[in-house]
Amino acid sequence: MPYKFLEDEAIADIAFEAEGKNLNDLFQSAAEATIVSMADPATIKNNITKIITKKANTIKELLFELIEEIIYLKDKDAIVFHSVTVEVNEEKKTCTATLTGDDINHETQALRNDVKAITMHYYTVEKTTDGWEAHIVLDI
Amino acid sequence: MINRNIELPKFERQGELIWDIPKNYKKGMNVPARIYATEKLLKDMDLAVFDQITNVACLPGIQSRAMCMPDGHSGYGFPIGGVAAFDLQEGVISPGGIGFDVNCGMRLVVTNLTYKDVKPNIKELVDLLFKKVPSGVGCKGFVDLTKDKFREVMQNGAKWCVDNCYGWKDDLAHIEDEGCIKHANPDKVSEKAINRGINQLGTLGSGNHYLEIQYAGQIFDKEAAAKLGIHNKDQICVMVHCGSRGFGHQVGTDYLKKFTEIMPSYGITVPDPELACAPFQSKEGQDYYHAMACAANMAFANRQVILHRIRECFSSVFGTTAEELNMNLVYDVAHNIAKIEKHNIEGKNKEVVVHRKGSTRCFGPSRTELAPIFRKIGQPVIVGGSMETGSYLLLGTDKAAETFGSTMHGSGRTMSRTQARKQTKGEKLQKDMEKRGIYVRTASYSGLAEEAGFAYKNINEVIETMDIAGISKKLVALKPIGNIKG
Repeated sequence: MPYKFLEDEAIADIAFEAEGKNLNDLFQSAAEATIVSMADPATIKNNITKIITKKANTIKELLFELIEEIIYLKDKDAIVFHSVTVEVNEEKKTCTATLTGDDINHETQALRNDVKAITMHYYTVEKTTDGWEAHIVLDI
Repeated sequence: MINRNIELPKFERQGELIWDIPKNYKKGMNVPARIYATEKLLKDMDLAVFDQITNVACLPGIQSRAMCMPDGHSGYGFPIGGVAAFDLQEGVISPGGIGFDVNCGMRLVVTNLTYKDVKPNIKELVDLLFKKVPSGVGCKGFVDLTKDKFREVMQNGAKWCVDNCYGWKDDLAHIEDEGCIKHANPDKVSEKAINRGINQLGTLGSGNHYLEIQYAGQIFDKEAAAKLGIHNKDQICVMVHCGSRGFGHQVGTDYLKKFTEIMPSYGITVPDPELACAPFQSKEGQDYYHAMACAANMAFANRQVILHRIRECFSSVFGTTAEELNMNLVYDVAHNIAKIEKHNIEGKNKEVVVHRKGSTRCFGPSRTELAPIFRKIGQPVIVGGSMETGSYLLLGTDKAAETFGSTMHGSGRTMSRTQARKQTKGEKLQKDMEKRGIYVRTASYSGLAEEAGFAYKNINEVIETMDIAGISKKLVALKPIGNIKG
């Protein structure tokens, strides 16, 4: 699994580690862990498509901005997500994420947590010998 | 990947319930740290609490000592249960000392109904409340606001609600700061935060937020309880726990990022990125304070319009008016906030910025900020336990001056959400609770499992700690019979 939820951390919230052999994979893993924390994607139809484009000064900031924007869209447009794909330009420090999902429906969807923020609590994005890793805590 | 070698401090024990960590525990501490706890609660605290509270002690301008209440557990930057006061001129303001959910807080409403009156109707009542008070992921509120109206909410808090027929005039005297923090300036709030919050007025949210029907299980001081409208055992009350929703979180995120950028220009370094801060008197510090006040006022308004819905639901189920049911507000109090308050610091009366994160103001009778009724008995303090074990109404004391007028906010978690989900399923827990006389409706079964009673500390031990310490006194123990879990 490209992400792993951590049992012993952030006891009131959600912590996970994401990994990828490249930045596209890492960003996608982290974005998937975030949308899975909100709702079971298997119960969400892909009736809506949202595209997020972000630019930052560092890769670490870029991932933070992406996760923050996904959380923002959930509240602003009242939607939850079925899938996400991400493309990262390491040189330009930009990313484009394409999310599919649907309007929130408490009757038909398995909703989980109202994720409210990505935190800087032990927030790391690191290059490893096998690729990239990130440690993220979401405030719920 | 992360190094977390935290050394257990050598505590300097001050009596039965106070554990001090001296300034020499960690390089950079400006003041010592203090934990209020029984020996058992202290042993059960995760080590990160001690690391985090001693990090707080390193912040510029901190006064007297950094403190952690007995419900303490690790948070972001500050521990949950953290209290710190900063010099108004030399000190800082930090979103990490307030929490993302600005003015997350508690509200308690009394009725003249008894357990016997309500028990036969509990399913109808809880089902109706579940329908009428939106909860869960991305829920939209029942108050339609334009951006101009939302600005009025940010500036006026609960008063906006009362002016717009979402409450009774008398409610305001029963809310911390009458439900409106001064200095709120919507111009300091981002468009993003407004877009997140504009549809959220009148929503419970999720996580540990709830609306609970309770009865008075034990009254510890009949005379004082009667002054707050609680006259008998078995009397029905309603408790609400929620905050400023995504709106407050966005304000927190916006300024956390801003403070991270500008800290070096003020020569400030912090031991934890979640302690990012700005001098309180700097432009950025003042901007955050004014934006935080907007979020705090939105939270007061949120709990106020929810109270309006609770009154409507009781009125519908019991076929009479909320006035006839004496559905008066006992109190509403924040437990994630920063406030400018006067406190005695080393013998001098001084204005400071008190940060309370997972900690409740508990002023004693001598505090002039309190409404006349509370000048006789002290400020009511509402402490929510787990949905299985019950909650408490307390009173603040003048001895609380030693904690900058602060006490605990809840029972505090002992177990992660993932661990709790592994130990029970939401559907099973719901059935088990119903067998024990607690009818629960939830927007998320996994969320329900995460809030199981075993995931929390023993509320009685937490309450006793501050009662014996003389900081907040037990007034009424409240037992749940119906719960809406966000």
